Amino acid sequence: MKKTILTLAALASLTAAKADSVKYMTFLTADGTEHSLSLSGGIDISFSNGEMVAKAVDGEFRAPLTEMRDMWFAIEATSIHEALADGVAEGSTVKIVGMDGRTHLEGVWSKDGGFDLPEGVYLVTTGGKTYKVFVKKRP
Amino acid sequence: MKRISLFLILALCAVCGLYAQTLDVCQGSVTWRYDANTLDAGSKMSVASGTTLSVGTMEFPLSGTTLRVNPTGTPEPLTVEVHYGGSTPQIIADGTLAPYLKCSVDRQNVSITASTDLSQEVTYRLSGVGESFTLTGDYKSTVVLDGVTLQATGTTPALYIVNGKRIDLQCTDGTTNVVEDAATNTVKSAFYVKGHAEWKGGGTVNITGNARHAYSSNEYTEIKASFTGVINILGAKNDGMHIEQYLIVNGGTINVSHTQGDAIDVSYAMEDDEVTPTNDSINGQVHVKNGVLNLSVNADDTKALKSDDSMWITGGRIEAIANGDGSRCINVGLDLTIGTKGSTDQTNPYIYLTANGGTYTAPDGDTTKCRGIKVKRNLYFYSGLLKRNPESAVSSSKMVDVDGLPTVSGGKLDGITIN
Repeated sequence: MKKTILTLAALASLTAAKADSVKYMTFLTADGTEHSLSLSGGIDISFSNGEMVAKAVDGEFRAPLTEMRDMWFAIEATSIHEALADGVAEGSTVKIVGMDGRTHLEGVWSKDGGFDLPEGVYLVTTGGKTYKVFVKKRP
Repeated sequence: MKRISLFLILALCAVCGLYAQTLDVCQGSVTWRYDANTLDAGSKMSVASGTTLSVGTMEFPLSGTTLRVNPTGTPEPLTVEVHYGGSTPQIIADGTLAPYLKCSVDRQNVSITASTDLSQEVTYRLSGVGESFTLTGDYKSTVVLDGVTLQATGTTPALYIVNGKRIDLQCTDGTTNVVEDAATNTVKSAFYVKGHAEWKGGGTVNITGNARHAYSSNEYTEIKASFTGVINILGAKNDGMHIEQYLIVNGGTINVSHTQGDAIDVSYAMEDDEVTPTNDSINGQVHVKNGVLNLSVNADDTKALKSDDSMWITGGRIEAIANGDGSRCINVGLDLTIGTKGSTDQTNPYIYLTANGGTYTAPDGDTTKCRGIKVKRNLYFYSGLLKRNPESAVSSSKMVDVDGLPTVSGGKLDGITIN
């Protein structure tokens, strides 16, 4: 019985460790912007014609290789503020649109934000470019 | 309570499985598989150069490389899977091995070279239908025969292990594996191990040598007690099993037939001059402790089981047939010991001899007579059963030929007279 409990405890700890497994792949571009894609349906990444293309079930991310920097796996997606904080200058014009087409913000970007977004996927347009960003609430 | 525990364990395992993820770096036939959890923000991959993808210390050229994140992939540490078949073999290897292994594929021929920097044992698992597998390296390795058919068509063995260290050969339970070379093979056997081979597992492997020997190891071969499978030597232009240094049989079954040389030939490992035996403490010997050997030779002047040095048969079952002129069921270069001193067992080991050949005359005029057992020095028969096939052409009194002193202190002789 003692052995069984110990076995279960070991497995439970293993499960706890696995529960922290990565769920997103994050891409960093030269301008400091981070973009996350969910791993849930798998991701295919190719490099051709000077471009990197990452395709996931719930979207894709493209960037010229000249603008790409690093990639890594993460437990959480980059939040909207983290994604934009380093890449968007304070005072820049930003438009944030939800996947349902609803505009959540159109105006001047501030690190303090002053607004909140529910978890989900958003299209963020700034500086003439549009990025897909995941918002995940930290516990 | 037991049922509840089992349910919980299964449930937990299922949950664990849900969270496995891998990153596959695909380059043609070769996929390097990484555990995605090890490539976090602290171990970033970089494409900043614009021409290469860096993962750890490895630089993959972006040209011809694709990446695939598998949300349910399972990384297998220190493992390389080679699956033959289709338009080209597929190799899936632990990504952490990428800096140490060079893989190449030519039709259904796979060659892997491990660098001298490799300091961890790698398992190579082979499956499918192909031509050949060549493994070169300097660190001990495991090769798993997981239902693989290798029929070579070129000048190399079908299974070619150019590694002088310990090689574990594991036959997966329930699998049938085939290793066969072409007559054009220029190496000495169809299944070649440069180092010392240790057999484990429970599958079957069928080996045919169409050029020279079927199986060979340049150092010892040990059939471990955990080997419960079958090694079938289906034919050879020379020896069925050609082993240097020594052979230990602890389990399993070895069947050898249709060879033009010896069924099993264990010879001295030699120094580079190929004349002087190495000074290893064990060299040229055979020790059968357990297992089953069914060996037959039909060619003239051949041996079913031969050792350059002494031989011990302390357990197991040997059935040997010598049909050629001058052939021998068992031929021992020094002493032969059968059974265990002090044992009263009259059934184990079991040795059954059939000798049907006549006298062989060599081109130089020397003659050799067919015998069941030929011992160059002394015979010690302590226990077990030594039996002559009553239909043998060789008579009871000629079945065992000892040049030195025969000592019979136990066991049972059936149809055999030792003078």
